[in-house]
Amino acid sequence: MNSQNFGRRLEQCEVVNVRHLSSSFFELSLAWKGTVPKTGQFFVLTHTELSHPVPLTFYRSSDGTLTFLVKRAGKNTEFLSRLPNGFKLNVLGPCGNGFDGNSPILGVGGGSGVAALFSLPPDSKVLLGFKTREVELERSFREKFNELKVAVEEKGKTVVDLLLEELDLTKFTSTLLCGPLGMIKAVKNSSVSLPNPHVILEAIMGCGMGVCLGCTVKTRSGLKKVCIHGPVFPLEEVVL
Amino acid sequence: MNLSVTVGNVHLRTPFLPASGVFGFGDPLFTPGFPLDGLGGVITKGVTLKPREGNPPPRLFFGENYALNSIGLENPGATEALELINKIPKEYPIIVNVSGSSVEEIVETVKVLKGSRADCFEINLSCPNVKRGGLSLFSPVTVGELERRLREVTNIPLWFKIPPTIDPVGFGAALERTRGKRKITLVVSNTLPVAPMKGGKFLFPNKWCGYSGEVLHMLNLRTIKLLRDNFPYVEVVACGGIRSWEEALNYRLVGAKAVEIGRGFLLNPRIFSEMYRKALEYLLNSGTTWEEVEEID
Repeated sequence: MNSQNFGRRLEQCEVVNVRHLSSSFFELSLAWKGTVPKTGQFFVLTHTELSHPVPLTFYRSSDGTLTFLVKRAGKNTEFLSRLPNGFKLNVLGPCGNGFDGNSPILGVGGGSGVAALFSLPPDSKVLLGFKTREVELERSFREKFNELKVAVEEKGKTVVDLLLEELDLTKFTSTLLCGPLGMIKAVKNSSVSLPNPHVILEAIMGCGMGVCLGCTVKTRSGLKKVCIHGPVFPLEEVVL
Repeated sequence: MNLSVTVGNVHLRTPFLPASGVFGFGDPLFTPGFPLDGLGGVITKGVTLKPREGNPPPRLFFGENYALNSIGLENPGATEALELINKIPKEYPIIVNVSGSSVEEIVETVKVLKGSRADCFEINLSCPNVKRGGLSLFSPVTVGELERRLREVTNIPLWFKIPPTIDPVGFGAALERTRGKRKITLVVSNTLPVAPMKGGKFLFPNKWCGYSGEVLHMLNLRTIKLLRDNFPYVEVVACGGIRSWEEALNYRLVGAKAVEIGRGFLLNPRIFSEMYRKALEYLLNSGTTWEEVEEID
């Protein structure tokens, strides 16, 4: 403890926009004057109206604005989705280590985990998986990435299927995975040999700064904290 | 107006303290942007003699009006903790939370840590989620024995953090038989020991965990009121379910001299500053001070 900082600070940030993308996702944009985060870093949002701290992965930023991609999942995200512009939230971040993989990168994401992949370099190839079609999100990703494939579970395909269809993985230098535990397990247990694979782990977050020790996960080198040792871990390190 | 207060021979900047486990070894003091103008002092993470890995994950769960934790006293051990304690900025009084599997381990831990800048030791006899020590070590006799043994090794003030699952009058009477009516400071309380289940399984691998939240606040108001009414020489620091100035004031009205905030700090990192302002406003309007707030009947 007296832990590593990662440029993290606590700010009171104003909401500058809430953009509804679908029945599942919305974008929450906040005014932000702090450090521009790295891919995989996250922020912890708190407010007296929220029943727990809400950790959100960095999605994108531009000109003093920080935008998060939020998946609706109950009362807390519902509260965030209805915030008017000018509303103030406590924002702690950027938290965690971030992803340092070299290009060209293969990004594999499912559900709300796709958010972390948006900040990868444009020459990355990105595979996304959603439960239902996400037209707006797909459009945003297509505008940024030349190489994009999307699987929709409703239509019988998952992002793991897309990964298994990839014929030449040797052209990538590194891989970043982010998504539900089932997706990460399926990739890890598959026969696919990924180049330098890393995974972004999620956990219930208390403090975001290595203090409360609540976000502990098992790794091959012992127990680690998602908030300060992660959230990005080498895939072979994590015990799922 | 000055909100400083002295509790169990420890002079606090304000009556508002972070409960052990949410403030590390003063880590938020090293993170830019935390408004800490209402912070009364620092209570450290619980320290044991040797490093402990803590419980397997998952360790934390948040409900609508409560949180559950099963951290299991993960800490770097007394020797490394001493270094971390000594890095805490000097302007804050430091209360070092100490745990152990036995009376002996607690005494040995204090022997190491008395060489730090600790202004007080908060002896944790109430951790609900470790297999040995913690809650299982708790009894009025142990409190008396530890007090005697620790007084042989240090003059640094002692607070004893007790579980919420006591019969306040029975406990107070037993404590009185053990050590007489000498002044003592009790922290009421640690989290409530529970064993939540989901889908036919215990929620945490360790089965037991600690509940903090609204119910604990109500339970502790009763405990503190009964302790103060029957054993006025017992000084109380309240802990449990504080999310705003209102709960802190409730605790003061039943006789607590200071309060500790755990979950409330995780949910609102500005709580110390906000509480400080609300307290000043209330006390100025009431024409009183924190220490002079009249306890209710």
